[in-house]
Amino acid sequence: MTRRIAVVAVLAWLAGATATPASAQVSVSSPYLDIVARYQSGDQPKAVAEMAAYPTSGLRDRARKDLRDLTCQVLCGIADCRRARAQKPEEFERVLESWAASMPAAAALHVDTAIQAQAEDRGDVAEAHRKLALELIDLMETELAPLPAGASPIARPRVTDGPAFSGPTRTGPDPQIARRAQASQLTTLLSIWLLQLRSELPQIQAPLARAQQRFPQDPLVALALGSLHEAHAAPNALVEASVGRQGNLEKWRQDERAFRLEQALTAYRQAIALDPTLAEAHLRLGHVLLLTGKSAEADAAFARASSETGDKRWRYLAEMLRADGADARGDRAAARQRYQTALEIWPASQTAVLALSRMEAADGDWQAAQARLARLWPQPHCCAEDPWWAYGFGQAWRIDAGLATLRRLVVR
Amino acid sequence: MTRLRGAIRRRRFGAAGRRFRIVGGVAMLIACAGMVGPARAQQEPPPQPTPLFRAVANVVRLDTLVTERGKPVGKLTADDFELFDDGVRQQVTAASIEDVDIDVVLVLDTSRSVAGTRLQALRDAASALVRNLRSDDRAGVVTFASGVTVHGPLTTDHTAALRALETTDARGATSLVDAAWTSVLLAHGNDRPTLVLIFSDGADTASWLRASPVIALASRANLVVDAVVAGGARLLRQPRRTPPAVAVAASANEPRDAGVENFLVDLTGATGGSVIDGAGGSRLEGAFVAALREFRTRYQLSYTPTGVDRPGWHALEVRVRRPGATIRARPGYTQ
Repeated sequence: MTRRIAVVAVLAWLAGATATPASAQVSVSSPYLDIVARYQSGDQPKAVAEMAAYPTSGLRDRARKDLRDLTCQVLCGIADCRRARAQKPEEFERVLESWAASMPAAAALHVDTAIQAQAEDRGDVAEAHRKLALELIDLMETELAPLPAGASPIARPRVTDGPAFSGPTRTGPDPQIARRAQASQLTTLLSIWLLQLRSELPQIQAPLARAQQRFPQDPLVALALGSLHEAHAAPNALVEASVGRQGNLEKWRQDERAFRLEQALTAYRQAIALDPTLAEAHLRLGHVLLLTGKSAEADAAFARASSETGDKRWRYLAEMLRADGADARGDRAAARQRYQTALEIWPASQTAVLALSRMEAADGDWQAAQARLARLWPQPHCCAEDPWWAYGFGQAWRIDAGLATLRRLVVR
Repeated sequence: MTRLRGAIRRRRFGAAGRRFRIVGGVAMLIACAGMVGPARAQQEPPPQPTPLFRAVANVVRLDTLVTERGKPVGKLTADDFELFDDGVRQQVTAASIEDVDIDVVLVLDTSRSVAGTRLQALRDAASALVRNLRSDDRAGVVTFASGVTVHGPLTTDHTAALRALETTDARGATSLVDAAWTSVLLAHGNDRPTLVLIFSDGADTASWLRASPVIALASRANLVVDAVVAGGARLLRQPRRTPPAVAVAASANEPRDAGVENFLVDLTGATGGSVIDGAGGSRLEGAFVAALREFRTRYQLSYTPTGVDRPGWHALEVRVRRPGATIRARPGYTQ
């Protein structure tokens, strides 16, 4: 990416972002920043395509330079931000404000590009942009926007609440601050969901830990944490994690599983405490309770999940899991009824059909069991997925909606 | 955005739409295997099942492998075998599978981890296997990722059986247990000697069904399940300290995800089959062909149970009058 400084004119971001007009007005431009500007202008598909076309090798260094050092150099005449901060504090403050306005968009652009690349099976590109998005968030949340001593942290609205919050910032009221905060939060969550989609458990830990620190009141962060522990508790994950360990591996796996499930329960309960209406949290809590043998508590959690939502996805899964619990308790009639109800809620369900075929086989009715599979005859135009298939991917199912929200948030 | 959403959805859930469009092949498979009536669309009334067990009612079949120093032993007759049902000796007939037409159901993992060269290796391995079938042998293909897909009927048109594989891409999670259930249930009651050959390179991550009912079903079906494993699945061959549960019903004491780490070992063991190491995918072709050739060297032992007329689990023991020979067969059945 070749830098080019286009015009020394108005620092456009600054004008909209600060209450006190800048005395020195400067505009910075580069191909990279042009793409960010395009993304902010609303032409997001083109911006994503352009960003995806960049070679990822060295992208991080180039982007950092453009986003950070370049501005320091232009505004302060000093490439080193620390020196700029010390030597030209007023200009530096304005730089901070401008980047606080634009960096969420840059981060959003990168996570958007990462998701698009992942959808196209370009895993290496996806990973490069995902990391860059998080780096920008880190930069924005820490180095470029430290709170003055004694200042209260920004009250972050929940992502689902919409951009209702405004200011203050260090330089005055800023109607954009809530959108920035939300964009930062949502970019982080999207990055985590993308890793869930890739089933890369070890890599989720670091961004999730930072998200817990920065967004402790976000129920979706707690939900992601619970899902991470739940995934770690799966038998196959435990086998992989025990490779290379010494001693009694079976006991280690049992202990680790119990620990992980307990951690998952804690996280899901925290998510519910933060948002009692979060159906997904109730459902996942119930699933872990079922895994720990607490069938009655699990059933109550599934019932609550159903009552908290009109979303068929959760009502379907709640019925399926309640059926499984009933079956395990030996209440086969209730199990069969709930599987049937699940099938009515989600007619394209494959797992409900398999579950019913299994019940018929258990009754010795092989003919019915086999005929049940024949009912999976295709329907024209049917392409609905089975929500159960997405359960193991944590909150990755939220990527579509999350990305749409993020795109709206960063449009100027 | 629509395209992006579509792409993400495919990424997340596998090619679900395509899966559902072709899963109707389940019905065709059943119909062509002579198990149930013809398939119908879902809008129509459910198909009326027809009897499963015709000539084979009350007859127990046992596909038995006899080896000596790792090599199959041929030219054995019924007189060479002794078979005990719950300790009671039975009168058996023996036929070499070499002499009869067989069915082969390929159950192939097409989840995300198979993408790339391994998927092509899988296609090549499947092609190599069907090239080794005889003209009257039948083949069927089941693939699985997040969901399970049956690619048409069991057919003697072996090229057609493989055609779907050419357009199948590798996406989504791994529903190994669900796929095994579907395949074994569909093949249950089949008249021909049946080999269910499963390939997987990863752990089960998305099945709804528990492992134990599938193992229980397989243990009472007249078929052999072999598994070829590669990649991460090679890890999942844990030595078992306690026998797996063998109930098709759910158990209150068994977590939903119990037994998946030992699944292929338990499943193949319950049918007298085995787990074959396909390395990183480089030895798939050889492994597939070897599994077929080994299956052909088996003997089909048949008998009508006598003196053991009680419901429930029957332990089977097979002996052969051949010093040093090793026998592999399913360990029992449920009446």
